[in-house]
Formats: sequence, structure tokens, C-alpha cells
Amino acid sequence: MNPRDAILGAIRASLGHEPADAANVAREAEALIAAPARFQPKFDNETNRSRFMARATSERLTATVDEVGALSDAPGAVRNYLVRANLPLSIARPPAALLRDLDWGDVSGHETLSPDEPVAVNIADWAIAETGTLVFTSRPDSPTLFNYLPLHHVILLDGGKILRYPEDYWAKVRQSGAAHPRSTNFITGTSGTADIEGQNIRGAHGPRFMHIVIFGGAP
Amino acid sequence: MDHAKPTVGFFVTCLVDAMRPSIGFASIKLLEDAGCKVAVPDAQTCCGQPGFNSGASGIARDIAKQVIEAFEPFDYVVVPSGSCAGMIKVHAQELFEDDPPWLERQKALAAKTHEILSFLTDVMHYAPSDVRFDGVATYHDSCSGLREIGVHDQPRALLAHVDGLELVPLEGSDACCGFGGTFCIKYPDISNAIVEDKTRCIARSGADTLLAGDLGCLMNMAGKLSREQRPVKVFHTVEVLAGMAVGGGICAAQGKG
Amino acid sequence: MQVTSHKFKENVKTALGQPNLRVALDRTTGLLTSRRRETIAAYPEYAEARTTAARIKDHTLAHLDHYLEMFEKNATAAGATVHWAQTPKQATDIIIEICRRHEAKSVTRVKSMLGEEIGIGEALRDAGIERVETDLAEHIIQLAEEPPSHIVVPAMHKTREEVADLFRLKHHDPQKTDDVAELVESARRELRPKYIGADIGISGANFLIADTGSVVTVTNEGNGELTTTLPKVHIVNVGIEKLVPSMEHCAVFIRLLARAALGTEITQYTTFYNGPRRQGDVDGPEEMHIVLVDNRRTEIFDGYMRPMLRCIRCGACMNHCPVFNAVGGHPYGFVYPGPMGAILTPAMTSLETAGDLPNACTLNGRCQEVCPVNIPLPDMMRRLREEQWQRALTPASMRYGLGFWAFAAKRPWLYRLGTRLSVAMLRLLAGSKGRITSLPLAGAWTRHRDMTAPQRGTFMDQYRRRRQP
Repeated sequence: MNPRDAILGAIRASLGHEPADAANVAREAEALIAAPARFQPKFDNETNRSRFMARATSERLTATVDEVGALSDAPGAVRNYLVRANLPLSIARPPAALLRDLDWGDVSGHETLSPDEPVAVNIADWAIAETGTLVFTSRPDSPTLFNYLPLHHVILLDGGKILRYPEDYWAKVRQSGAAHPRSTNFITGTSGTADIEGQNIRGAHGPRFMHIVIFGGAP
Repeated sequence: MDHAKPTVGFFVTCLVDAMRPSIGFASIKLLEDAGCKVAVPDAQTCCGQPGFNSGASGIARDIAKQVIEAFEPFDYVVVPSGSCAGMIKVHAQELFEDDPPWLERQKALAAKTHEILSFLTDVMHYAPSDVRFDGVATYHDSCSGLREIGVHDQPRALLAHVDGLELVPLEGSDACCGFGGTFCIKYPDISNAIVEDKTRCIARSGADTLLAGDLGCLMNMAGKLSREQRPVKVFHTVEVLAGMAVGGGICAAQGKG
Repeated sequence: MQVTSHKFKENVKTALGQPNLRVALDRTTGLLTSRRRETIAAYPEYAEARTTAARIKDHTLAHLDHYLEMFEKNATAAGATVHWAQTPKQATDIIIEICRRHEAKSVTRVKSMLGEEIGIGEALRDAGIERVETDLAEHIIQLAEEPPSHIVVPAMHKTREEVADLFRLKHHDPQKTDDVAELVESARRELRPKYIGADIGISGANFLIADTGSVVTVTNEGNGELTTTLPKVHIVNVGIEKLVPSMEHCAVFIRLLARAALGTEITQYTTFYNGPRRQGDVDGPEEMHIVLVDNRRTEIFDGYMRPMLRCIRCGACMNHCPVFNAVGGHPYGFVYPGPMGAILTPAMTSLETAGDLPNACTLNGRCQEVCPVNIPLPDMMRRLREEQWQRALTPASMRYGLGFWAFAAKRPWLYRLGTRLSVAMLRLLAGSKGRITSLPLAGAWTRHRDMTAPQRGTFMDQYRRRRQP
């Protein structure tokens, strides 16, 4: 008997009941997570934006944040960051139209990534306020590695795209009816590790520095 | 018109019976002061936990039946130990899953079985009065009592009524002391490492007295404190509450037996 | 991996003789447990999340065949290839065959305890394929040639000084001091070129999402995504119990996992993989293989240990276990240490091999208390002991001892007699000291602590005397 049949057979033998009706199982599963407010951390006194910013800049996540009025103001904020961080005025950025079309001034951009890339700039799909998380998905104009290889990770985030809970993100995905991309990446702060004596250290293999430029959106 | 006093079947536990009867007498005094009519059924030996924890379910079942028969006539069954009370209240039911009549009887017994400190506060709403103990004490929460029965606030509430007694916190008061019944005999070196952590915390607390509600834990911690020659007196909580915490406590030289 | 659970007592002796181990343990679990306490205190909805999570797992297990088939269908539709393996050997054969087909010379790995279970390290070595561990802790133990000692922080048995010495010996451009940040820097430098050079990346999975066929990893360092995105092939080895119905169900677990394991709300990287690269993608593997592994899980599923399959591998149980904190992870002798290891090791090897593990437990219950899915660990320890008793695996001395004790316990008059005699003997040994420092026949007690002298007269005797006029 092939392993697949053996495994499924063993499980069925243990369960000893008739194959379940898929609709019933789905209903049961749905009921388990009904009224998610029961287990979602409440932060009623904070807006999505204020919660997101508080989490992002917390000691645990260590991101820095700039707020600008519009997307067109973002390159200026990015340039200021590069200067503050003593970085050359040269960034890696994915081949996204939104990024190409911005006026970068004297900050040069390249669309290739080297293993020791100092800084990459990307635009986030969404953010999640609960945990200060940024959401990226893999697309031809948004390769995954721009978010993991560089030392400095600079993210442009539309202030109007800060969702409250991860469940809100998954609801949007369902509503869109689109197929899932190869990867959906929830990124929360800079990379780190607690592997040596449990001490929290930032900058393991992923980015060590994160700077978020929030443009537009309600305060 | 007088209420009839609630009847209590006192389950002394094998350790208290053999090693420290004063805990038994202190318990009875407190129960009587609280307004109970206390009896000590003769046909008691053990709750069966050593057998149960070793996987000898048949043995444990026979002994559990003996406990049911001896104690079911009473309004309450009170035990000066969280782990023995836990055995009767929580675990023994597992032994009768396939035996509905005995299961019913076990469940009925479980419902009226109590660890003594929680019984005094939660059921009898009792507080000791006019009792004194001069000392700085720290409290260890025995695992079974804490996690199976929820004994935590009650001993502290009772001890608050003892004049002269100052209670200081114990770091890791809810950490296991390393007794674990047969564990300390089967894995003595691991048990030792665990109880060493405990005595270190006791020393750091600054207390001169250690209290808890389980004699197994107390003997284990007292034995280690004694071996390390730390000057800490060890008593069962009921001894202090009943004004019977005389002498040096567990492991100390005894003036009178 | 080489199982040494049958040498538990010997391993314990070795462990207790290592002062550095104790230092490392205290430093690590001290931090992890205090952080967990703080994070849970700041999450009032924790109890509800925990109850929900346990129910989700139980529901999924109650329909495991249904969800496995759903996952396979959806993962395949996304372009992944799903394989099934009953045994470790079947699993490693599948993985090595994929490596051979792609003429892989070098493989990067993300930490996966299931990978240890199936012995992927040995299989790669035997196939002559270079294995590069990319998690900092796995990198450390690879350099030190030691097995993992914890499921979340596998190198926690090493102090930072020991890691520093190791890096100075083995790294091309090691750090200058023992500062932990510098150690991490040194590892980053050392491993960077390895990511680029890898032909295949192998990871595990924290969760499998049935309704989308997605694989979820929960990590901190970034090595996960570098390992699974750069090479041409991504292989996932994962236990069949890792399924959850949907992304929304997964969200409940994500809230619990990092809090329980590390005392943080969420890890840095939660990645949801859905098949290989799509048309037009610039990066990502061309092939994605998912190897679903049984390895005795269907047996565990079939008995009283089924709740163990709820486990989300957070490590909270071992962080809070007094036995683990005394001896560390290595004495358990297998992939999984601490309370969950004491259950899984006999289940995945045998009770004959791992008989000590469920017995080296005080049944204090803290493990279950901190478990984010409320697994009844102490109950299962006891049930394993019951199985040992029923299969006559309990040592003869124990069986006879309990037999005699039970005989007396059922006969109160005899029990009283025995108690009286024991008390008299102990009092004799104690003399006027109030304690006994050396007990014949019970040397295990007095090796490390004194035994209190009993008071004069048993309770039952004194009570009877007092009652008689």
C-alpha cells in the first residue's frame, strides 16, 4: 500500500466514523472562530495608525518612522534617512511603477540586489496595527528578496492601508477572489534572534534597520 | 434552634499519621473551633496516590474503594494535604470510568472532599483568633494544592490573623520543590538540584520560618535546609494556626514527642 | 538522530556535573519565562485564545483525513508537489532523490525539529551533500557537532563564552569579544555567501493551511526566507498534524506561539508560502516539494496520546519544567526534551527505550498550565506509567514494593502495625537529634538531605488513646 493510502487509512480506521460532510465540517470550523473579538487584543483607545506607529517604534521592533503628506514627499524623507544613517545616496528598489515614477532627485536607484546590499526601498501592500506588522506579497514588480537581503529596509506605507487585525487582511484577500501569490510576508520589525542565552539581538540574517515612511491617510 | 454541626471525616494521610501527628491534632482543633463535629474513620490507610502515580491502577482502585466506603457517610471529608485531597477530588474518578455505580460514589465523595486550609476559609468561613506565632515566615505553594485545587489565597488569609507573624514573599513560591512522591527516591540527584534552588530562594527571602500545606513537600524542604544547616524552622500551616507550632519544627531535635 | 534515551540516568549524571550548563539554563529560561509572564499578563484575551486554539486543533484532528486531502488538492493546484512518507527513511529517500535529480551539491536548512526526527542531517551526509544550517542556534550546534537541547532555542545549553570560543575557532572572520551582538554579527558574515551558493533550501513548517494549500513558517532571523527564496528548489518536511483549516484559524495560533515561546506578541517573520514561483516572478524557487510525514503520528492519533498532536512546538512546557531546568535537554536523548519530549520520545521510539522519561517527572502540572493549547501532559505521563505497569516494564523492585504496600494498605490493622514498626525504627536511628542523616534502605533520600524523625506514636494510635477514657 502506498504511504498516502496507508496514512489516510490509518486515520480513518481510528476515527471510525463515516466520511464527514464537507459543508458540515466547514460550518463547524467557521463556528470555532466566530466573534473573533473574543481573542483579538483590544486597543479601543488607539487608532490603527497610532497603534501601528507605537508598535513599530517600540523597543522590540526598533523601526523608525517618518510621516509625510503625500507619496510624492516620500523620496525626500528617504533621502533624509540615508543622510542620517551615513549611507550613500543609492538605493535598491523593485521594478514597481509606483516607485519608478517618483522623483528621487539625486538619490540613484538600481533594480538589482547584491547579497550585501546596504539599503532597499519598497512599498508595502498593507500594514496591521495590532502588531506593527507590514504585509508584502511576491509579484513580478515586487520580488521578495528586497525585504530580506539589505541591511537597511526602508518601506513606504500608505497611511490609509493600515488595517486593524490580521483577520481584516485575510478578509480582503477573500473578497478580492484572487489566487494567493507565491509568498505573503508578514514583517514585524527588524530581524533578530534570542538563540544565545535568550538575549534579544537585532540584525541576524535579515535587515538590521527598518525605516517606515507613512504617507497620507487619516491621523 | 441550633444548626446541626456539619460532620467531618478526617483523612489524616499516611505521612502525617507516621511522621507528624501534631498536624493531625492541629487540624482537628481548627475544625472543631470552626464548628465541625470531627470523626477519624478507623478504616483509613492511604488515598492510593503512590499506586496511581506509578501506573498501578488496579491497586489504586482497590484503595480508592476503601476510601469511599470509609468516608462517604460524612458531610465533608477534610485532608491536611493538597496532593491527597487532589487524589480523592480530581484523580480517583479516572479509576472508575468503566464502573458507573462506583463512579457515582466516587464523584459524590469528590464533591465533598476538601483540602483543609481552603475548607476552613471557603466552606466554614473560619478565621483563627487569639493565636500567636513570633517569626518571619515565607510560604511555599505545593503543586497539587495550587493547580488541582486552587489553594493559594486561603492560607495567606488565615495566617493574616496570627499575631506576631510577618509573611514575606518567596521567589518562585509556585515552583515545584522536587519532592514528587516516589520521584525523589527514583531520581534523587535531579530532585536534589530542584530542592537546592528552593532552599536558595528560601534563604534569599530572609524568613526564619517556612510554611506550606503538604507534609511531603515540607519534609523534603526541611531535610535539605537541615543538611545545608540553614536556620529555618519548618511547620505545616495548620500547626501555626492552631497555636501548636512549638519547638524547632520538622527535622529539629525534639524536646518532647 | 542517535537516540540515547535509554541512557537517561547516565546522561543526567553528566549534565549535573556541568556547571556551565546550569548557568546557560538559568540565563535562558529565566528570560523566556519572565517575558512570557509579562506578555500574557498584557493580553487579557489569552484564556479565550487558548481555549479556541485547543478546540481548533481537536476539530482538525477529528477530521484529519478530510483536511489532509483538502491541503493536498490546494497545494497541488498552487503548483507544489505533495509527497507522503510513513517512516523517516521514506521521507529522507524522497528528499535525497529530489536533491540527486537536481545534482545538488549544497543545501541550506532552516531549523526544523521534524527534520531532526527523520534524520535529514545524516541522510545528506551519507549522500555527500553539503548541509548548511542557517538558524544561529543550528549553526552553533553544527559547528560544535552536538544535538539540539531545546526545540526553540536549540543551543541554549551553551553559554555565550562557549559560543564565542567556538566562533573564534571556526569562523573565517570571527568577533573580537564575547558580546552577544558581536557573535550574531560574526554568524551573519559567515553565512551570507552560503545562502547564495545553495542549490536547494529545506525548511519545516509551523502550520499547513488546508483551504489554500499554504505552508506557514514563523521565524525571527530572516534566514528562513533567504533559504526558501534563493535556491531553485524549496523542500518542506512537515508532520501531518500541523494542519489548520484556514488563515483565520492560523491567526489564533500566531498570537499564541510567540507569546508562549519567547514572550513577544509576534515573531519578526511570518511567511505564507503558496507553491513555487509564478509566471513573471523575479525570485522564488522553481519547484516546491512538500513532504507530509507520519512517523508514528497515526499511532499517537489512535490512543490516549492524541491531545499531544495539538502541540505547536512553543517550548513553554520545558522552559517551566523543574526537571528540564535541572538537567537541560540532552539527557532526554532524542529530538524533543522536557515534558513534550517525555511523551513524544516513548511514542516515537518505544517505552522500552524511553521508559525513564515519563517517570522523571514530579507531576507538578506547570507544563499543562503554560501550554497554549492545554495539553494534559501530566495525565499522559501517568498513562504512560500505567502502560509500563501493564506491560511489566516497571522495574521488579517497584512492582514488589508496591505490591507489599498495597497488601498492607488494604488491611488497616496490618498497615498500622507496619507504620508503628517503621516509626519506632526511625526514632531509634534519629536518637535525640530529631533527624536522620543516613537511612539504610532509603539512601536515595539521605544522600542529599536529612530525614525528619517521626514524633512519638502514630496519629491513629494517639487519637485512639485520647478518645478512650
